Amino acid sequence: MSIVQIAPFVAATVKVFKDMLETDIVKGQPEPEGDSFISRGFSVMVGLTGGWEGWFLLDMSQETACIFARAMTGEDYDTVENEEVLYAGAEIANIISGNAITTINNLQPGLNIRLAPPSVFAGQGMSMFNARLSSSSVLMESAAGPVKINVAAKEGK
Amino acid sequence: MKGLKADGTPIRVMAVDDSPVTRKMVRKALEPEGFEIVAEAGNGKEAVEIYASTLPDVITMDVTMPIMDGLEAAGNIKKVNPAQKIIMLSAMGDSDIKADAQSRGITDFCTKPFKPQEMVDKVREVFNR
Amino acid sequence: MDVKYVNPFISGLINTFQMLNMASIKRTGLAKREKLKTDNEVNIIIGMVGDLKGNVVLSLPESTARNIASTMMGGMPVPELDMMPKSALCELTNMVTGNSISQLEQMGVAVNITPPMLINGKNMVTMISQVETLVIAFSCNEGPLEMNIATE
Repeated sequence: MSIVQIAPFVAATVKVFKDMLETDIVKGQPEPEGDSFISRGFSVMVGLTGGWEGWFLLDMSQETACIFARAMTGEDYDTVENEEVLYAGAEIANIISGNAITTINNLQPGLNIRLAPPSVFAGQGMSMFNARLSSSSVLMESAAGPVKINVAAKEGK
Repeated sequence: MKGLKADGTPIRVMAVDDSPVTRKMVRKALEPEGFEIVAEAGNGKEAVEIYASTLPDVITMDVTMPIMDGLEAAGNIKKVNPAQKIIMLSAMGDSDIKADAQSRGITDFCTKPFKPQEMVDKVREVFNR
Repeated sequence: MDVKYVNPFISGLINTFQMLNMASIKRTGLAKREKLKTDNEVNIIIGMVGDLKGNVVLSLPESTARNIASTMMGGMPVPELDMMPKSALCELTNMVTGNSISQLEQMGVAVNITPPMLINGKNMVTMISQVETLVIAFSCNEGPLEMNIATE
């Protein structure tokens, strides 16, 4: 059975979008993901170590990322080449993963999952590959476009 | 206007966060209510360095930052001015972080994500104390 | 980032390439990253938590990536970057980082690492961690590549 629990990440995503971006997001059902994840063009990744070793991914289109950055700063962005769009995505993913692993670590004392700083990749025809991790995704819908989260991890040492 | 003191002057806030976007979010939440962002810093070391020349009423301080984290910076500022009001911002509700902050004399926290109104109320409440 | 931590990453990469029959590997540059854009289609990222917190990204053109995978798979032709070569490149990055952090450990620096993740695409804009990034350029018979290190 997979060790990955995606539900705390789903709950954290809904809360972050509602409170910080004032956007309601409709959650879908968890579905297993293969070794390859196809990006919509803008992806933030946060590394997990400790009780789980793997990655949290927050993925959306570049247009959607620009809209969310605007919701955060009140400024208009038309390209992900503006550093602030990357910072905005990084902060959203950072808060979602911080909230989610706090929940998981509190439920399972001793698990002690820890987070690496977020990184952002935006591009065309982008896909992510990770071998031998169990991977689960949830596709969500927002007024600014679809947002997909993915957690790929294995049991840590 | 929750950002004004009894004499009508703004409550002066220093925003410390490594993310420029988060600093803008703090600004966007507080400025419409009359608060004045008198300084911004991108890491703890910068915050400690500009503190003496800024003397804000309230500091919002991110926990996880490069070079010097927010806990260490807040501790250093508290050593200079034990009465300084500091709100720690963190996405991690870890009891470890709270215990560490409390040992440095910091008791106020705002968990990310925050609604703009929550940030306004929190800064006002801490200023009033 | 403290400059004394850079050498373990350089020698970790060189040691690993030499072990994998890519002895022509040499360092060709060291600079701060100046732009968000990268022309390299293949990027393999590993996260670090501990005394050093950040991410390391091995970044390479697809041609270098296919050539390295080919050398690692005993000279088998690699016309496409499919699952097998991607796995090989993840394994390579794991070995490079593993070698680097065991040297760091000898210096008293304890680091936990994430598994590698390979990102490929075109016209990419990237921000690694949210801090200044160091770019170490290398070259070998398989082509040019770079290691990006961004630690808090």
